[in-house]
Order: sequence, then C-alpha cells, then structure tokens
Amino acid sequence: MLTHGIQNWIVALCVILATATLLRRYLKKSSAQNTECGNCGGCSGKIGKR
Amino acid sequence: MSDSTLRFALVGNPNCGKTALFNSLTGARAKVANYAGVTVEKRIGRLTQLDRPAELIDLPGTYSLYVASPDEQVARRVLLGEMENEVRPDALIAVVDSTNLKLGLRLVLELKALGLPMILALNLADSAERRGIRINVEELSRRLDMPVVETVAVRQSGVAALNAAIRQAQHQPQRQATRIELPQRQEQVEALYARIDTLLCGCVSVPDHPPRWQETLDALVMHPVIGLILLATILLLIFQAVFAWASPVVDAIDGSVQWLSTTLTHLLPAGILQDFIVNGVLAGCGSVLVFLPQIVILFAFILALEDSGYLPRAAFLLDRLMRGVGLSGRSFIPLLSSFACAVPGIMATRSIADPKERLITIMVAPLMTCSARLPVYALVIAAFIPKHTVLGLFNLQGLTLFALYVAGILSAALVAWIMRRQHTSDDHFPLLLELPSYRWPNAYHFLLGLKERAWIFIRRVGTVILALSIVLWFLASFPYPPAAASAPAIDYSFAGMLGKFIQPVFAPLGFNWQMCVALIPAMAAREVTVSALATVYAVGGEAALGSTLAHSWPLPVALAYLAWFVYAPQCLSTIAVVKRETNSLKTTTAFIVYLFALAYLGALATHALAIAWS
Repeated sequence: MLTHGIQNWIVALCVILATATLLRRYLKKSSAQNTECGNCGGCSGKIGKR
Repeated sequence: MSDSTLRFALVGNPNCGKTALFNSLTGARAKVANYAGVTVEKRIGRLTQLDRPAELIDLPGTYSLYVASPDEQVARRVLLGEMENEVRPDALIAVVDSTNLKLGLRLVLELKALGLPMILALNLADSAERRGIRINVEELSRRLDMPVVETVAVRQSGVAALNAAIRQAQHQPQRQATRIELPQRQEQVEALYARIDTLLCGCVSVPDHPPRWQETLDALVMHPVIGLILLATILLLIFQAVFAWASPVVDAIDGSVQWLSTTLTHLLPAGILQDFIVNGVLAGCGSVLVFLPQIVILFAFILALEDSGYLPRAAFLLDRLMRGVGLSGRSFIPLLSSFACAVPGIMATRSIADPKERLITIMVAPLMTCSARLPVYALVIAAFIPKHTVLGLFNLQGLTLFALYVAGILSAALVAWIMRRQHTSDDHFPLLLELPSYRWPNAYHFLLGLKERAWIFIRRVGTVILALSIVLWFLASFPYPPAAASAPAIDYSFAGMLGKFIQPVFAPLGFNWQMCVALIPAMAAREVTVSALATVYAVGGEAALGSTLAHSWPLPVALAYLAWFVYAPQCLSTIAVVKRETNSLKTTTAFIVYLFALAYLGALATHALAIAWS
C-alpha cells in the first residue's frame, strides 16, 4: 500500500513533468522558423522518413 | 549536410502525382490528394539506394518556370538556384500526367533547357491506358534524349524502374544550360506547342473524346443549380453521419471510460493519487477520447472527396458566388482544407496569386469549422439539443451541427466582403484550375489517411491534452479549502480564483466562472475545453459531463458558448502560422483582435437573442 507521502510525491512529479512538457512544447514552437505544419496535429501532412 | 550529397528534384504540373512518387521513393508519408495545390512548400526526403548520400526534393507543382503565385515561385527559385541557403539540384525527375502529356511536356522542355541530367516519369500510366492513350516510351525517350519510365505512383508500379534510372543518372555530367526564352507573344506560345506536337506525333496516340460518363457527371456536378444542390446534400450528409453513425461507438468508448473510472476508484485507496488518476487523467483524457469516432467519420468523407476529383469542380461551381464577396474559386481549396485544420488551410493560400485575395483568405480561414471544434460542438449539442427527427429525415442534432458550420461560412463571406471593400484592387486574376479526372479513392491511401488521422488525435489526447488535464487538475485541486469551508472545494482553488477573476469580463455573455476556466487551456487547443470542463465539474465521460452541463447552464448560455467557439481564434498554432505566412506582427495582431471581438459580439448577440426568444 502506498503511503500518503509517496502518493504526494508521485502526483507532484506528474504535475511537474506535465508543466515542463507544455512549456517545452510551446517554447519550441514559438522559436521554430520553418515547421511544416505548426505541429497542431490537425493535418495529415506529416513526413515520416524511413 | 555534406557537399558530396546528390540532390534530385521532383518537378511537374500540379496534381500529376509528384508527392505520391516522393512517398514511394523515400518512404515518406506526405499528404496526397486529387487536386492541384496540395504541396505548397518544398519537402526533402532521403534516397537510400544510391552509391552516394542523396536527397530528393518534392517541389510544388508548376505549369511553367514563368509564374506568379508564391508556391510556384518556390519551384522556380529552387531550380534556378535563386533560393537563399539552398543548393541547386544536381538532377531532375520530371513527372508528367500521362493523360495530359501536351501540358506536361511544355514544362519538360523548359526544364531540359536548364542543362541538368533528367529523367521523365510518365505517371498515371494506368489511367492513360484505360482511356486508350498509347505511348511509345522508347521513341519518346529517344526524341527527348532522356530516360522515360512509366509509373503508377499510388500503386508503387514502375518505381523500381525509376530507381534504376535514378542510379544511372547519378553518374551523368551536367550539360551546358541554354537561355530560357519566355514565350510572351501568342506566336511564341503557339510555336512551343507546335514543337510539342512534333515530339508527340507518331509516338503517342490519343482517342478523340474523353470518357462520356465523365462528361455526363461534369454536366451535373458543375450545373449552377443541380451542382449547388448536390454540394449542399453532400455537406448535410457528412454532418448527419457524424452524429448518427458515430453514436454506437461513442457510447461504447464512453462506457469503457466509465467502467475504468469505477474500477480504479474501487482499486485505489481513497486519497490524492486516486483523485489525480480518476478526476484528473481519466476524466480529462476520456472526455475527449470519446469523440474519436466522429473525427474519423468526418475525415473519411474529407479523404474520399479529396481523392475523387470532386473538389476542384466545387471550386469552379462556387467561383461566381465567391466573387460576390471578393474572393474566387482559388480560395476554395484553402478554405476547404481549413475544415480539417486552419494551419494547412492558411499554408495552402500560397497558391493564390493575388496578394489581397490571399490575405483575405488567411484572415477568414479560421472561421471555417476545424476538426478541433467538433468535440466542443458535439458535447454541447448532445447535452442541450434533443434527438428529434425533423421532416421525418433529418436529425435535429445533425442539423444544429450543420448550422454551426454554415454560421462559420456565412461569417467568413461577410468578413471577406467587408475586407474586399477596404482593399479595392484593379487587378483581375481569372480562375484557371485544371480539372482532374474522376477517380475512385485509392483504398490504401484512404485507410492510411484515416489511420493517421485517428493516430494524430489519439497522440494528441496522450500528449498535450493529458499534460493540460494534469495541470488543470492541480489548479482545480489546490490549495485545499479551509477547515470551516461551506462552498465546494474547487471554489477555493487556483482555478476557482482565476475563473472568478476573469468572469466579470464574460458576465454579459452569461458565462459562469467554470466556463471561463475552461476557455484558458483552450487557447492551446480548442478541444481541451472539454477535458477542462470535465475537470472543473469533476465528472468523466461524455454522458455524465453532458448531463452536468445541462443542469448547470441555461440554454442561452450554452448557445452563446457555441457562438464563442465559432469565432474565437483559440489556437496558438494558427496564430503562429498567420505570423509566419504574413510576416507581419501588425496583421497578426489585427487577426487576433478581430476574431476575439467577433467571438465576444457573436456570443453576446446569441445570448441576448436566445433570452428574448425564450
């Protein structure tokens, strides 16, 4: 059984990771000069190289 | 990149299958469709079967090296070595539509004058054969003095032969380039086509008439009255299908999310971790994931229409109507692409030669209802609009969705008309658009396209929506309420404080603070508003959330919320692409301000009218 302390740590880690992911994603997007589609996921024009 | 890298460029008329060949040769999965102007920016892939490192550049289609529109200029500048930071290609692969050799060979002759080693790919060889077009490939190769290969790119046919020709071409030296004469006068153009006629004479035989069924179908599809009725019927069918066909699968996913939620509640000990997983992760992601079937159905129709060759005909049909508001049929494809997502739609405006028309199209593109709005519309419609049948045929929910799409289209027409009046232009660019042959959608591309759409949506739920749901759960859960608190816990949270802080701005629209909280993460992606509502109301699953909203919001407020989403530019990607395509901070600011103003006024008017009506 997970103690309250461990539960708190797991949740805190997830929140920090989620925040960092969002920040990284939007900082990266704002600095990108030549992205193919803005990475919005709304188009199927993505290129995958073999 | 090393200097020893060989650069091959794929060049050809629009819609001759360059990108399909690019995908076959490099293993890429770039978007292909049966209309001109899908590729508006060069793409680079790797060719792995040569002796040296080599890359393949897919260029936007062009009819000639003397061109006006921004996408066609990309091809010209790359080929002439005028593109900044871009090395000129070492060899060319010219792609020609075998059913329209005469038009394609004009560009081939211009390209030949560049003096680069060249290979000619006669694509759509199967369509040419079906139409009775016979091509003597060896003779054409001899006359053009270059290798000629027949291909069917979508079926990978002829790709091995093309690869062999590419391997040969890597060792060919460049020839002396000749000066390219721009055929300015009518006689020069006629002389060019006379040269093409001589080239084709004796090695290509073409039947006198195109297939009769295509002519009959065109007469119906492009008829000014029947054509419009047909177009309206197709659109109505799509929106009916989105609601009617999706229901069983939506219910199944919703049930699974509910089951998982209940199971985890029983399995996990009560506490912060259980609350986080059930009310944060599962409620947030599950409430958006249930809309997957509707997204798939919408894209099934879009992909089938794209592949069929119907879309350019619809562009011609609407050209006259669009001229009435200051646009033309040329804006149709970018605006239609915006129904999937405004980002590729705005990029597709590069095929518009008139800069003013291009700017207006960019400004109104986000008013077309993108697929990210679908979960928001579907949630609110399912919660507030009864499942009545109208006229014994139409589903009221489907009709409401259709009305929201129409509201976006009419608003775009009005904005375009107003903007065109501000920017009068003497330039006249008549609509010249090649009508492709009708084709049955290619099953492989269709299924691949659907799989990609579904995967993009699922990945989005697993990344940005998951991350936003977690952050929002944190904001909605902390700080804890004081010991003697009487109001719900969320009232004391960061989210509650933030929502109440901005709520006065939205009070005239009837929005409560929970709705205001849900608008903030929707700036990143519109559909996140659904997971945000699930988090602030602490319910998961579409049915439960819909029922909660139906009890918490009066109908006029729900309608105002829908009106807000018709207009609000709540998508950072769209704003970023507008900045990139217009290269103007002033235009981008004007874009954001006018759309938010329209959203506010639209929601205000809807709220007031709905109250007056009820």
